[in-house]
Amino acid sequence: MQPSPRTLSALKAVIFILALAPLARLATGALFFPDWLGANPAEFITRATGDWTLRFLLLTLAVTPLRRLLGWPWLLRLRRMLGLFAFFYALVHLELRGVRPRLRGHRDP
Amino acid sequence: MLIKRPSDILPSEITPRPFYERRRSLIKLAAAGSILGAAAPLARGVRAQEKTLGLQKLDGVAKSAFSTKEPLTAYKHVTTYNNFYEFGTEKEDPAVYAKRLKVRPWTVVVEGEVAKPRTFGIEELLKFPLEERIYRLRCVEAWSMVIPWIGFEFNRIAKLVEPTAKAKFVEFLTALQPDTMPGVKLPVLDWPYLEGLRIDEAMHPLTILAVGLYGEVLPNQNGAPIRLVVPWKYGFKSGKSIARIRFVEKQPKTAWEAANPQEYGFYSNVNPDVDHPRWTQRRERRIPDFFARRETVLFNGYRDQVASLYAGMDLKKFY
Repeated sequence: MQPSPRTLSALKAVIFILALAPLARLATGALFFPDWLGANPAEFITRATGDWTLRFLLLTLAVTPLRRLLGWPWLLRLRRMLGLFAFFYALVHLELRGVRPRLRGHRDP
Repeated sequence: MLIKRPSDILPSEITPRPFYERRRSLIKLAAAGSILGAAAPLARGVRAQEKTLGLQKLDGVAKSAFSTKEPLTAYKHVTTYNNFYEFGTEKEDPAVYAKRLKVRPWTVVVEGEVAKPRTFGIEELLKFPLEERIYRLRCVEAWSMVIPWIGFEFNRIAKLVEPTAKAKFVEFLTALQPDTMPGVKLPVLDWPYLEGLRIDEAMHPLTILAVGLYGEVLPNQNGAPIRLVVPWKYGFKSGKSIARIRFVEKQPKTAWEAANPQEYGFYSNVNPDVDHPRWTQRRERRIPDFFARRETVLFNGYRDQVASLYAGMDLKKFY
């Protein structure tokens, strides 16, 4: 199976939007619906972004075995985007964990 | 000729000058009064309407001068964001798994260095004159709540069992029910959970045994059917689901102290000047705030009541 270039770019767009959905949910909760994020919203977001980092990392690492298993070499075209999303959620997570204040010598919970 | 007409304003109706001059502030005062008057029942209404689990109501509960007037933390947060490691280490775990905890029959054994050791049935304990104590709760993890506990001072129990001169400390042991507590299979802490206080801390009027919150008996996840509450210490000092109380001569090795003595001391008084090795204790997050914007206060704001217990002690050494 080899999707047409148009199908492939449509697929990439869909994945891009889906990959932003967790962030959108967290941001909407933080700004408008605190009930979504429970008793400790900051902790909830820190954990959720950490979880999503691991999920995207696993998805990224799954691309090559899947390519071989299914015989779909074009899956490679999605790998960079998945990897970048893993990196993106990792950055948000570390920022919330307070890595920057820690580098400056402060310790925050 | 001057024709004098009677004034249509009676002298008694004329506003005295001092009142006239203060008229604006008087109007403001009256307005504020009526707003407050209207809001007070509203505030009580909100309190009464707080959606609870609908557990057994506790009646005849007296108010206490020790209660804070700070806004209460919502019941749903108080009962879904818990540290009760016997039921798992996640905050959501106790609300899910503590349903299994068997809270009847329940006895509290009081023993050790006492003249009259005794076992109390929970029914007897619920008959003690109960008070509502609205206390701040500061967790060592730098979050805090305001909780309307219902209970009685621990010193009432002590008076009944008559501690001897050898009783220098009090141990509080949480129940151990391996069949209902999935968490005790993990070697996180030594079970049963052991906490302790110096005898003068235990006898302090702020130290209570709580049997309820928000007007009802304790939900299991909050330490049903009876738990300790020591509001000037970090939350982990207030053991839940107490089954055994021992008056002892030697300072006990408490559960967290045994697990990690660098991080958790015997005293564990709330103190913004003594950092946890992994984070600062300067500030706290009042649940459900997003930011940790409250300054943490020495002894969690109970300094006037408890500071004398620690006169002359180096609180950095005895953390």
